[in-house]
Amino acid sequence: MRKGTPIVKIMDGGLQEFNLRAGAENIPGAAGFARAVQLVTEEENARLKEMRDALISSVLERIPRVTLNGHPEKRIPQNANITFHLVEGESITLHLDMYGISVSTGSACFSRSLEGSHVISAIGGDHERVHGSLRMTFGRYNTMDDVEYTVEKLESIVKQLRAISPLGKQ
Amino acid sequence: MAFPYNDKVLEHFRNPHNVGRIENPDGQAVEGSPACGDMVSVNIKVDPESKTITDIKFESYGCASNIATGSIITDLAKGKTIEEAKKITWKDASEALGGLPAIKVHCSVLAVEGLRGAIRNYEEKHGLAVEKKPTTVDTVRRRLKKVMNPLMGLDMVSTNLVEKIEVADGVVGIVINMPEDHQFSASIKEEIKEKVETLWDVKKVNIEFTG
Repeated sequence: MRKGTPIVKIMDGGLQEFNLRAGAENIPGAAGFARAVQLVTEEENARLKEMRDALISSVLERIPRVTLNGHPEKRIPQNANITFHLVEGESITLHLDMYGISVSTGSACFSRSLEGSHVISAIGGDHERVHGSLRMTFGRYNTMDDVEYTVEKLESIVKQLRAISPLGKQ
Repeated sequence: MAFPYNDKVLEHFRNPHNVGRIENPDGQAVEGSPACGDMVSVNIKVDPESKTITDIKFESYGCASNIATGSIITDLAKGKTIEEAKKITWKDASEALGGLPAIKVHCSVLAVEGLRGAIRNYEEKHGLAVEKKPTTVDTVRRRLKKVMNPLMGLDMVSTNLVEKIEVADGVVGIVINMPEDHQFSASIKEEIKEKVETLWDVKKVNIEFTG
């Protein structure tokens, strides 16, 4: 760690590790972290980015009334965050879960505190945009097939939920 | 995070009953708003002789508990007289669903209010509404008890968000104990206006924020 980095300890007790982390050294944790860092490679990042971009462009192209949250390129490789307007995020998340797809939502209904995602609020999203937002992230076990499967399911779920929504119809 | 729903709730969520709208409904209501989160609309058809709800439909912009409650409450109300249907509570709905998580009360109570609102709308249109009483601080407080504090999942009165209520010459003044630039202040303000401005003798609602 660079000298002068302002850090605060999260475990109090003994004076081990320069009084920054109490307790005996966490060898399995350290070894696990080292291995995890090794697994982050340019190739793997490129693979994740490809899946992320395919998901974002397919959703924007095939599903009407959606907004990409965050910058199209300047974002971490594995993360796609999209708002599906006129529907609520927990409902989409629950439907996807039944198809074996695990995602998360910024919707207040999904959090224990009933507070929506402060991140989407902070980047200028209103409450409705937070409410219908979905965070989809990829990992090393995902493939391009998962992208196609997810977009397909999203398309039908969002259509189904919009059909029962009182919003967006006249 | 695991979803806190039982199989019955999930079944109603997946295949909700009585979804949609009725053309030329005898009574209708919309509860909630996109700003506050969830929203439910309820349409009813009432037999003029027996005062029985012959048809009922709902639409939902909300989470699973909101959709499932809309489904079960419309099942419960169908075929009942409006007097019987008025008495259906959130507890009845929750019991018929085999239980709902406590944190989901605010999402699911909207369907119950939607049903009551549609009945009230029917009564008002057909001259059945009870006599008009002048609005008092108590009336306003009762209405505010239907506005959720989104931070707590409970109403804004019991969570002490309401600092002061004044009623004078058709003007209602309400002081809310939260900063004006808070994430939820705009949606709360909008909801209060919706709830209080509809009182028959209220001309204006002034909302102030402190804190």
